[in-house]
Amino acid sequence: MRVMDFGSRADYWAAMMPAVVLALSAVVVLMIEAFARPGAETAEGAEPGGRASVAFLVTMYAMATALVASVSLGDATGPPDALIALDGFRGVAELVLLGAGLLVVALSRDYAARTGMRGGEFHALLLLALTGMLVVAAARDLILLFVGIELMSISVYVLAGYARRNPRSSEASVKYFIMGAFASAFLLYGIALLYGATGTTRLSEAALAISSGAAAGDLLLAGGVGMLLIGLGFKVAAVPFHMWTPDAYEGAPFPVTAFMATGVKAAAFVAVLRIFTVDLAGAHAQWAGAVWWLAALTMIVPNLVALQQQDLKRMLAYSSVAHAGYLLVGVAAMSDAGRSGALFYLGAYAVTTAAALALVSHLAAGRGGRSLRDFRGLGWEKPWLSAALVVLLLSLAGFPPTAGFVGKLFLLRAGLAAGEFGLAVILVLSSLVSYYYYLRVVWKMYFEESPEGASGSAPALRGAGGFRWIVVGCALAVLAAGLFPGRLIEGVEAATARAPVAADGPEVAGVEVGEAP
Amino acid sequence: MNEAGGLAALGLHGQIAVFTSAVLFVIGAIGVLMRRNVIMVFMCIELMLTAGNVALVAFSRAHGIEGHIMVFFVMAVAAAEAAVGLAIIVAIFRHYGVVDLDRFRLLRW
Repeated sequence: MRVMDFGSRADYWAAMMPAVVLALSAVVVLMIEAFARPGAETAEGAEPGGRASVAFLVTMYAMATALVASVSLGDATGPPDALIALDGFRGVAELVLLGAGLLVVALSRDYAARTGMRGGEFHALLLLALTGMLVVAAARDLILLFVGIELMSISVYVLAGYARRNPRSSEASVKYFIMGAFASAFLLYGIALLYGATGTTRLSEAALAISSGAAAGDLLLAGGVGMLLIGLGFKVAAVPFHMWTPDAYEGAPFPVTAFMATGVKAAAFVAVLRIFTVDLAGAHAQWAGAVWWLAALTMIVPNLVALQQQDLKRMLAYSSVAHAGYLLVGVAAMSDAGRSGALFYLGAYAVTTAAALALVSHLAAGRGGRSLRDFRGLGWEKPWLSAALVVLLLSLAGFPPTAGFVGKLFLLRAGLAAGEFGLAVILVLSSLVSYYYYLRVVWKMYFEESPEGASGSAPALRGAGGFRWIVVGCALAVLAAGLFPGRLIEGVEAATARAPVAADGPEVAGVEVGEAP
Repeated sequence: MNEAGGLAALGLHGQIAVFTSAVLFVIGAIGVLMRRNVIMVFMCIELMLTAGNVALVAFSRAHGIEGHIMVFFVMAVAAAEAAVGLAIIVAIFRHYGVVDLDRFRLLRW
């Protein structure tokens, strides 16, 4: 057990090492791109399955290094009022975020090879967004939180418009930008009001001020909590604030959609879980009702709208909104079980969604369209990839031997333990509704005739960069996590159990001197 | 410095500043919802961010330096957001020839 007291600057560097690694690598990738010879820039798009671009390799290496740095911080603890969190919650959150980043980048090679998307800025922006996410996961101060969320959001605004010759991508970018900036303004004003109510931007001190009743001005506190909830509600795409999501997800390039649906959502949820269920637990009366309604609406509405979607990408966008609703049950439960359940669900959901989106993109390119009709009869033509897609869709729907099922069970248990019977019932019923649109895809793939000449219309596509291995691996991992969830669950629960209660003193047994890893 | 005092601790001038910021914020929010020109919407969002800054400075009267520090971060972030936002608006103007939110309707259900 390593204790950092943040007495020296080295402790800050050490505690933020994963984010530092990513930020520096983003600069390196940008520089590589700036000084690359003009002829070399199509290396990624030119030869499918060929050698990976330098930017790709540096990005993967940086994320792996950040992951190692994050894991090596796993045994460190800090004082409870520190600026930067050092606990299991942050560790698991970083694991999910970096895992999502690694997966998205690995899967993006196939898309890049197919469309000739240039890689340099994509990788640099993705690294910067990931830096912001890690800052969000580590932030114990509202200033740091705001900067992290903005670093993440601004990078993703650009990424959404990355295919700038495509008007849909630009439109997605504008819509996402306007809504995201609007949300940031709410977030900022909420932070200002919270600061006014508690007299500090430090979350642990704010928690003390609130729980001791010293947070004067119920109006300020309620306003601040409400505005914070609106701002973060936009970021996680909870229902009254979700209208940008389908447009942005549909218009953005596929890797970016996958990144928005996994990384951005996970980071925003980490912030919601940490801030509302831990630091603002004392203000439970102010936000409990609002979160209940957010969760209920977010489970019901998108599942109903998704029923009539013909475009698979848009359907997955609505499905991702619905998953935010399930996750909000974990927030409403406001317990250790809710937190660890939500983190487990975020991990399972990130792997599943990233792989499913990449797979839909890949298969749709072979069919010349990504509407439901284009997928007819696909199951018999591409058995392996189709089987993988079936597993992933079943996991999203929450069928038994998959990670999605375990995650939902986890959240359901947390909700029931917290006495949220209404939400538990809605969770089960809306999952039942969602079976229809997930299974409809499976039906089309296996039980309907392939349209005339569908397989001949596009050239046979080979997945570039080990695409098929990765996707099938994801499907197997989802199955494995569903069949043998014990170790994973124990790990997540153990990590979050010693998490973030501000009021407790730090464990000071077995003191070692903190130093940079 | 950290004793929480709510609005009463601000004194009259602080309260006036907080109410001014609230008015600014509401004007900005209404503008975002009512205006259709992307540039105007963006300016209204900047107004909302400025309202946040005013509130932070006002609360700093009672609570110490943290609010002032945050204002500098917010200004930097707003500048970055403006740069990116205007670039995005230029990009979509090239496709549509207008910057009217109602005209961007390739993506809808």
